[in-house]
Formats: sequence, structure tokens, C-alpha cells
Amino acid sequence: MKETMRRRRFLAGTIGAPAAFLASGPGGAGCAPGGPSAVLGAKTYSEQIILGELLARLLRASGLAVTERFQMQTFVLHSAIANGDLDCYIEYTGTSYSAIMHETFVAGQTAEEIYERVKELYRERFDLRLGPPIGFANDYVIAVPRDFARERNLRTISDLARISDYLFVAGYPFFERADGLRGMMDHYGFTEMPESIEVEVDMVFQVMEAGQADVAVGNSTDGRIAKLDLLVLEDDLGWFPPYESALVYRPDAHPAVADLAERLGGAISTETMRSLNRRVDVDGEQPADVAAEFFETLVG
Amino acid sequence: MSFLEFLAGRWTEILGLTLEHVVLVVISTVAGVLIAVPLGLAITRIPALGRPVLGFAGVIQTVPSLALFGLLIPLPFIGGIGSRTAIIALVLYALLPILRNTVTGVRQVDPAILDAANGMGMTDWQRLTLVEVPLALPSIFSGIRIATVVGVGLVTIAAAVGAGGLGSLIFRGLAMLDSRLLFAGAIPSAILALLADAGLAMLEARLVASRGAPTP
Repeated sequence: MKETMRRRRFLAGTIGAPAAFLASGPGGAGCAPGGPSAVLGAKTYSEQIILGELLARLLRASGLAVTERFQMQTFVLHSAIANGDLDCYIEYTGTSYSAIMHETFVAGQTAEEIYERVKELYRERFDLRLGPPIGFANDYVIAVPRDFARERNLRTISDLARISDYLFVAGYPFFERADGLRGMMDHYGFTEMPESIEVEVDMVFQVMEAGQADVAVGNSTDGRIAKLDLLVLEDDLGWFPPYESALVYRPDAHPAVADLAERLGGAISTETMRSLNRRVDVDGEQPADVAAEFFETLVG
Repeated sequence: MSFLEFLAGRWTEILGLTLEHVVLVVISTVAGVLIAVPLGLAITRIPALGRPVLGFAGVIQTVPSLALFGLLIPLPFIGGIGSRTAIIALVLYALLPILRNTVTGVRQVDPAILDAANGMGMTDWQRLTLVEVPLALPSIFSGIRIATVVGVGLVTIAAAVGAGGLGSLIFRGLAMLDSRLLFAGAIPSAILALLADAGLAMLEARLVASRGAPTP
């Protein structure tokens, strides 16, 4: 039932596109000659590429010419959108809150509180807008092979803080981000800096699959956590903030972009996102194909 | 926080990564020399080897380094993530400059000198080791210097496949848009390249000088 409603809403959005087309206001970064347009960003890993392809389709269906700026790092995307070189991209509230805005997460703050605060700060500090939560969250998780967890008696991050002599793998940003390694080690009182391998964010689980590391920092929606049967350690002292997804966009972007942000509200559940990611990361499908098919189920 | 304060807070980490960097360059360059110099000398004796071997090394050189690292990852035994993959890629890149300079150096030896060596009744092996290699040494060394300096730069890219080294700081800096991290990686790497080049130049001068000394 809910699914039908959602479809109808998307359909309505698509049909309503010509209206938005006519009502085109002052263009932002996408103000190219020859018609309404938008510049769309995405980060480097599969989830973001799938969503990027999906958003591109949705915007094109609304009559915009879309320029894709995919495979970019978080901070590059942020500074690009703040400078007006980008119209929109999907960000996670925890990333905005801790890494971009350097706010301190206090255990117990709810996802809604973080969302509202991030929305406010985007408006105040960068004059950017944040769409409603898309519905799925992509949290930072610490994952270990079950055998390793059993051997070393691990269930929580506190347990990990007590042990030594293991190899740790994470993407580069985790070594520097405010919500990353150093903060986590302080928060949990890690006894020593673990020996680590630094790779591109998308390669973390490849390293785990090859058995070259014992502990991984990854995205909770990554299909390879289930594929490799990894155990996610409980963040028992509440270090990581919630990372709800939402579209960040410029107020001067074409109105179809704000419209898209609204339509995305509640459109993708964590389960759905995880299964889309799995098709790319585990089954080897192309992000564009997965996005095309999902687009059909959304607007179909 | 100023850049100097940043460095002061991070110097142990930077030093550790610099060491990793040096180890990767030394291992891969030494391996490159051990493979490419004998192979180059073999080419001067068996000219038929020249085209395929130099061709292979040349093709490797045209593969962008990031792509080569990526291509090596899925390979069994030699691939994977970490320093092993990096070293294999770096050795492959070191081949062309050392091979080519070895071959060129030996081929440029004055034919009159070779005639003299032959006239003295030297065997081919004696002629190679006592005449041709010593005379080709400056050329061989310049190949090794090129390979080393290029290697210092390439190792920074090897951080993309988890090899560590100063490239880690550069990749973090790119990810975080933090120029302090970029400089903390790039400046020591540039210094290493200069030091390596100067060190090899001194070694070369010494070797050439000892060769020039009259033998009893």
C-alpha cells in the first residue's frame, strides 16, 4: 500500500515536471545556456554511484540537462557545493555534523536531533538546503570476521579497545576525520594505535576478503559485510553519530532539484539500499543498470 | 594551527611513513637493477632479445601507474593489497630506464677499444666485464638514477593500494581537502628524491674514479 502511494507520488512528480520546467527560476551552478540544467555530485563508492545514476535519471525525467560529477571525495563535494560549482549531492547527517561542521556528537542525541541541527547549520553557515531524510542510514561500523571475534572475545568496540596485535583497515578519511580513528581511540581509551592499512574507501572489504586485515571500518549498507559474514561490533559508548541520508542542495538550483529532494523523502529504506549495493558490490552488476531498474520501480 | 605546529604534532607519524617510503624505493630499485642490468647485458650479446624485452618494458611504462596497481590487485601470488603489489609494479617501472641505458651504454663503447681488447686476446666475458661494463657505467648509472627518482614519486601513488608510505598523507590530504597533509606528504617525498639522486651521483663519481685509476 505504502509502496503504491510512493510510486504515485513519484509519478506525480514526473508529470509535474513540465510545470517546474516552465517555472524555472534563476539557475545556480546548472545555469547553462540552452535550457535548465543541474550539476550533480556523488562520492566514490557504489552506493553513491548508484544513487547518483538514479538522481540523474530523476532530474532528466524532470526535463533538466544533468552534468555528473561522480567519484569525488566528501570534502571536495562539500566545498564544491558551497562554492556553487555543484547543485546537489547525497550526504549523511553524521558526516555533515562531525566531519564537515566539527560539531561534537554526544551519546544519546537522536537521529532526528542531528538531522534538524545539520539542516539548520547548512542554512546558517553555507546557505545550503537539506531535503527530508531519504529513509536509509549508512553508519560507520567496525566489522570483524566471526572467527576473530570468537578468538579474541569481541562483541563491542570497548572489547576491541582492550586488545592489541591486530591489523586494522580503513579508508583514508577515517584517519583524519573528526568522527574518525583518533577520536574513537580517545573516546574508548584504546591502549595503543593499531597497526593499519590505509586504502580507498571502496577497497576496505577487498582487503578483508583477501584475509589481509582483522578489523575493518566500513559502511553499514555495504553488501560485503553480509557476504563475508562479518560481525559488526556494537558502538557501546556511542562514539559514532547517526548517518541518515538526505539530499543537500543549493537554494539557487533549478526548482526541480528542491522538488527532487522532497520526493526522495522516505523513498529508500536501509534494506532496499543494502540490496541495491549488494547487486553491485557482490553480484558485480553495473551501478547504472541497477539504478535504471530501480528508477523503473520508483516511477513505474 | 600553523603548518609548523601541525608538523610538530605529527612528526613521528611522518617519520614512520618516510621510512616505509624509503624501504619500498630501496627494495624495488635494487630488484630492478638486479633484473635489468644483467638483462640489458644479455641483450648486447643476444640482439634477438632486444626487441621483445625492450618492447615489454616500454609497454609497461605506458600503463598509468594507478591502473597498473589496480590490475595487479586481483592476481594470485604476486597481487593483493599492500607493499608486495607496490614493489612488483615499481620493479616493472624501473626496468625500462635501466635496461635502455645499459644497452645504450655498452653499444656506445668505441669500436676501436673493442678491437684493442680483442687484439689482446680477451675472451668475450673478459671484454664485457673489464672493458664494456666499466665504460658503460655512467650510462647505466644515469638509468638507475632515473629509475630511483621516478620510483620515489611512484611510491606515493602505491599508497592507493595500501602500500603505506608518504602517499598515505597525500591521499588523506586529497580526501580531506587539507593542504597541510598534502605538504606533509609531498615535501619529504621531494626531499627524498633529491637526496637519492645526489647520493647515487656521489656513488657513481666514486665508482668511475676507481675505474679510472691505473691498474697494476
